[in-house]
This record gives sequence, C-alpha cells and structure tokens, in this order.
Amino acid sequence: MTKSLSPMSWRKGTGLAGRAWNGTNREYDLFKELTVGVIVVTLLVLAASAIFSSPDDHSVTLKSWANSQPSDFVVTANTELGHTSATAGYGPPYNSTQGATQTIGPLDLQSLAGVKIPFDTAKDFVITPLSTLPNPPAAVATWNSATSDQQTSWTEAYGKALDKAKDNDPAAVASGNYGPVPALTRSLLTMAKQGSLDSVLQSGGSFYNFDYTRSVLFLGDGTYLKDLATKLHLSGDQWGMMNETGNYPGQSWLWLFSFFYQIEPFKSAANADLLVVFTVAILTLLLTLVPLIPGLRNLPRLIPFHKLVWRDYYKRR
Amino acid sequence: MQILLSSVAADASTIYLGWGAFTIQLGNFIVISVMLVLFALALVLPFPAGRKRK
Amino acid sequence: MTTVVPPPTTPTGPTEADSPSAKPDEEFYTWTGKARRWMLKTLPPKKLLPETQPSYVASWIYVFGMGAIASLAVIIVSGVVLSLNGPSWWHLSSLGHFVNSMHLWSVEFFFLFMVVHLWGKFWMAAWRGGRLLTWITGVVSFAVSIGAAFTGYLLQTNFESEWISFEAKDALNAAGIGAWFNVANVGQMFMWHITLLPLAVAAIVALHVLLVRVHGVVSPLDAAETDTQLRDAAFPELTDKADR
Repeated sequence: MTKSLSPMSWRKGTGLAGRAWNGTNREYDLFKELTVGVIVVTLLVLAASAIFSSPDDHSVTLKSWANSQPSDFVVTANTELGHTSATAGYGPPYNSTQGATQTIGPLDLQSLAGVKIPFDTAKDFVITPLSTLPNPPAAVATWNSATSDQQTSWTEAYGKALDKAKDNDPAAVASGNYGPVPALTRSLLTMAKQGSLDSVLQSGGSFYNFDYTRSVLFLGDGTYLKDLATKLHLSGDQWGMMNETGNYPGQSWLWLFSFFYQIEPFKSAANADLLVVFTVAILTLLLTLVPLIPGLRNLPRLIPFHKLVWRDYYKRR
Repeated sequence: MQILLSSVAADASTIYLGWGAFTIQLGNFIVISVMLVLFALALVLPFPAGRKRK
Repeated sequence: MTTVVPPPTTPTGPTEADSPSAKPDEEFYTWTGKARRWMLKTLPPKKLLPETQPSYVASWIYVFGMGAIASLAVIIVSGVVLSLNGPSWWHLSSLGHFVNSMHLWSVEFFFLFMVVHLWGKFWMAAWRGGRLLTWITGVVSFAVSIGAAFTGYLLQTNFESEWISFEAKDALNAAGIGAWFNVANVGQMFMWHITLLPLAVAAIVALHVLLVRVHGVVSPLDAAETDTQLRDAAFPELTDKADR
C-alpha cells in the first residue's frame, strides 16, 4: 500500500511484517511441540480429573417438586390452568401473548421468530395429562364444558384463596366458588407425586422423548427450581451464568455476558436479555475487528508488552 | 485489589469471594487468576535458547 | 481393461518449496491442477511443516496456541468416549464419571490456554502484515468454542443442565434464536454439541493454523531492516557467539 501505512495496520504493506522473514532463524520442531503439548495437557487433565473429579448434582423432577413442596406445585398448577404463569404469558416462541416480547425500539426479534414451539399451559400441562389417566376425574369434563370466562373466574378465585391460606396450603383454603379447579389441581398433584406426570409431560404419550421444554418450563414456573438454583448461586443476578455447582470452575468465559446482568441500566431493564445480547454481540464484533480500529489497534504500542515478548530480539539488534 | 471473603454459602462448603456487589466463585477465581499468572510468567520467564540456523 | 495413463510430466527433481512456482512453464488445464498450483504456491510443504522459525520466536507466550490445540485433542478424545457410551453412562459408571471429568478439565484448560494466547497475540499486534484473517479466525474460533461448550453444559442431564436450559432460554428467545435453537430440547442440543459445533471448531482452528503457516509468525513491532538479525543472517556464527 502507501508508504504512510500505519505500523499497526493489518495490511500487507511493504514493511517487515508483510514480508517473508529472511533473517536469522532458530531450530523449531512442530511435531515435537505438538507431541509434548498433547502429553503435558493429557497429564494435567488426568491429574485434575483424579484430584478434583467433576460435579454431578442429581436432577429434580415434577415428582420431587410435588413431594417436597406440594403447595407450591398446586399454586403453580392453578396459574397454568388460568394462563397467569410466566410461561403462559411468555409470548413467542411458546404462545402469542401480546406485549410480552423484549424489544429495542421497533426491533422485535422475538415476535419475528414466531410461535415455533406452541403449547397451551392449561391444556398441555394440566388437562391433557389428566385425560391420560385410566379414570380421568369428572372435573376434567366440567372444565372442558365451561366457557373461558368461567374458567378464568374459577382459577382467579382459587388463586386468591390459595394466596390467603396459611402456607398456601390447599387443605386450608376457605370454601368458595372454584368450580372443578381444586379437584383438577389435586389430581395433578397426585399424578405428579406418583411420578407419572413427568413421563406424560415429556413424551406426550409416545414412547421416545428428546424434548424437555414443557417439563422445564412447568418446573420453572414454581419457586422450587428457582430456590434450589439461588441456593447454589446459579441465578443470573448472582453471576450464576458462569458458576458451576460446588467450588468447581464454571463457564468463566461467559464473564462478560454475566457481568452486564449485574449492572445498570441492564439489571433492571425489562428488555435486559436483548440489551445484553446486543451489547455482547457488538463487543465481540469489536474484538474481531480490532485490527481495523485505529484507537484499539494502537494499544499494543502504547502499552508495550511486546518489549517483554521480544526482549531477546531487541537486545541483540 | 482488596478481596473480602464475604460469605460462605449456605450450601455445603462452596466459597464465594466478593468485592462490593461483585461476587466470584472460588473455582472461577482460581482459573482466572491462573490465566493472569501464566500470561505474566510467559512474558517474564526466560525462554531456553534454541539452536540457531541460517 | 486398464487404461494406461502416461506419467505426469513432472520435473526431474522434487518441487523446490521456496520457489513454489518452480515450473512457470507448466500449464494447468483442470480445476484440480489449478488448485494444486495455488496450494503449492500459497503453502509449499516447507512452509507447512517448517524446521525453523525466525529467531524472534523465543518466548513462552508462543506455546499457548499449541496448548489450546493439545487441549482440543483431549476434548475430542474424551468427548468421543462419552458420546459412544451414551448420555447417562457417566452418571452410572465410575469410569464414565472420570471421562466426564477429563472432558470438563480439558475444556477448562482449552479456554485457559486460548485466552492467554489471545492476550499474547493482541499485545504483539499479531494482525500486522496481512494477517487480518488469521486474527479474525482466531476470534471466531473462540466464539464458536463458547457456543460448543455451552451446549455441552446443557447435556449433563443433571440439575445444572436442567437449570441452565431454563435460565438460558430467555436471552436466546429475546434474540429470536430460541425458536430454532431450543435449549430444552436435549435431542437437538445433542446434535449441535456432538456434530455441528465440534466440526465448526475443528474447521476454524484448522484454517487458523494454516493461515499462521502461510503468513509466518509476525515480526517484532520494533523490528527494522538494520537489525543485526537481518543484516547478519548469512553469518549466524557472529551473532551466535554474542548471544552466549
């Protein structure tokens, strides 16, 4: 290029950096370095694995949830029936709840992607599983024949009553007009406690299953899963994204992603996820394009670590 | 840098180091420290002189 | 039956690597021939598998790229063993758990070495002299590796993967990616983790390494034509003595 090419430029130019080196050389054995590298790393990995092992905390299930926190399960099941759970109001890709998506100005990628994994929380989390029972409770038929307004008023009333009851205990709920809802949630609780809800929700009645979307979302709508994660410092506002259980190192390379969730304005933004994704994407792009950015690419000259790297070379010039 | 051992989590013996609002899990802290130490050592430690060729 | 193909019109001696277009008069008619000419010109064997490096390549900072590649080899071997035994093997067998530990620790070492390598290359401004694509492939391989590692965390089939799939869906859904890349769909994540992403990492790393060989190791920032190492290249004994 031109003679006034910056020494920090990525261009080939006419300088030393752009030409094949024809100065002094030292012996170098690529394959030997590779072999030594593989041996050293293998020994390091074997040692770390033998000394530290790796964590494996047993998974939780709808069954363990229903058995350890039955009230939380019933409260959540009621919100699934009444379409007031986080999942029911999530928007795309699960349903088309209006105004639920995260946007930046007119940019609404979530809606653009569409409802690709559609389900209805009342039907798919509660009614359909109960219908698979050998003797479905009569409440299922009552629910199915009611209008949606009627259904909503039942779940609303039952939700308020559960809220008021001591420890949200369904057994302590004052009597009221809840229609078939208490019977439905009670049956679902029994099903969950016995473990059959896990398989029904996961496989949808078929033999094989590879997709846990519904089970994970149902679990996450309650407080059980979240409380466990918080206890293990895994939630997003605890730098949980980069944490592993126990003292094991986790995905520390996600530190930047995790970092933005800890600070304003991201922390309390309604569209925090989208803002963080964009910010990290832009910063990654900047890193990729460092050689093209005059201010950034001059840093190695301003902070001359290179004097240390090449100190032998510079000494002998 | 002042790192305070702010809390020992309720769960088992997991250790979190904290500085104000920032917390870091011990495992991550060690890995990141090792990175920095290795970088520093790589710059400072003398490299064995290889045989010279033309 | 067998068609006798006349031997190719190779020159008598082996191809001289330093002057790859050793046979400027040779004509290439096929895509294959033209590709071979381009490859030999861009990366002659001696450049691909060198026995020497410039004398300035003398610092521990240069070993971290190889460290990352060695870690990647251990990741792939331990990952193959894990995948051939199926996703729940490691919960049930102590050998499986040990191989899982190897997979985890090789990933930790991989990123550790890769990050030190990245810092080193940044402070050496290693993109100079036509090495832009080398830098870019390096950063891309880092980014793709993060994706590959992330899908691995989703396949642990334990509490952590359960939680991560719940937690991570929000960012992906907000960006419109979750509809196609469903973190709670274990079957889908398996395919990403054991086929597509490892292939992508391996391909980008391979391209990165080939680019390093094509361009050679970048010269020192302050190197100049008047340096002893360049002037006295023909008489190494002189500098050699001074070194000791």
